Amino acid sequence: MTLKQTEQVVMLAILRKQPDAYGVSIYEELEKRLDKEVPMATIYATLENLEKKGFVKSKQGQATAERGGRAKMFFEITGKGQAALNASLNALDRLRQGTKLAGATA
Amino acid sequence: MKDEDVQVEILEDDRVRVRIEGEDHLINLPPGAGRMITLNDLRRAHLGAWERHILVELRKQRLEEDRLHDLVGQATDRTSTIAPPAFAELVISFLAPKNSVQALLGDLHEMFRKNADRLGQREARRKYRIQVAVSLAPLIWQWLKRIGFFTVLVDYFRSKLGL
Repeated sequence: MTLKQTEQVVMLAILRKQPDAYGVSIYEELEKRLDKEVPMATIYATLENLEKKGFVKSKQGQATAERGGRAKMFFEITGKGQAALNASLNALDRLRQGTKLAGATA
Repeated sequence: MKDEDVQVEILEDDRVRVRIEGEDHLINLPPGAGRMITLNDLRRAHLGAWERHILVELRKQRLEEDRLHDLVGQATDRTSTIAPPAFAELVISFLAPKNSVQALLGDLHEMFRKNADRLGQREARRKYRIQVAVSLAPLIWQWLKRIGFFTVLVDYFRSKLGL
């Protein structure tokens, strides 16, 4: 099963933030690494798709006052998700291998 | 507070009870006062001086209490008024999927609080509205998919075209 680019970046952000991967931490990670503000609803829509495909699983955290009494939802990548991400990134690497891109450092 | 509203009663050589506006307060006198002078001496010769000292102390206490009360009041006001725009929250709660709406609203609230601390409430509210505005497209798209809008649309055209 192929992954869209948004799915790839959200999954990579989850991997970087584990075990504290929830909406805000994923948003901040994407903002920091991509230098781009991804709408929170897009992140949640992507997470919902990934959860439907069985690539991520979620669990409810504790409700806190700073969140208006609402609980966090933590996400982690499943084994199936890791395999899919790995395959997707490898495919991208294979496609990129041997190409010459002006201004690229790698 | 007037001086005549204050009644002073010496309890021990280093403590006095002061009745002020019907409330009892226990005040410690300056260190060593009790050992140097007797209760009667205090009553006779120093009561006026202690009274003034007590009044000053009481006023200081009152000022401190008022200051703390103001600070608590300000903090409470701040906490109660620091809230994301209600309409924007309502939009999100209407469009977001049921299983993640609380987490999404919580995340937006957390970001709002962080922005309010860092940039001020006005800027935080502005950023919240922008966040909701840019979230509208994916939320509406998701909502349309959820309610089966596209299936209905396809079925409609199929029936119209006789397919």
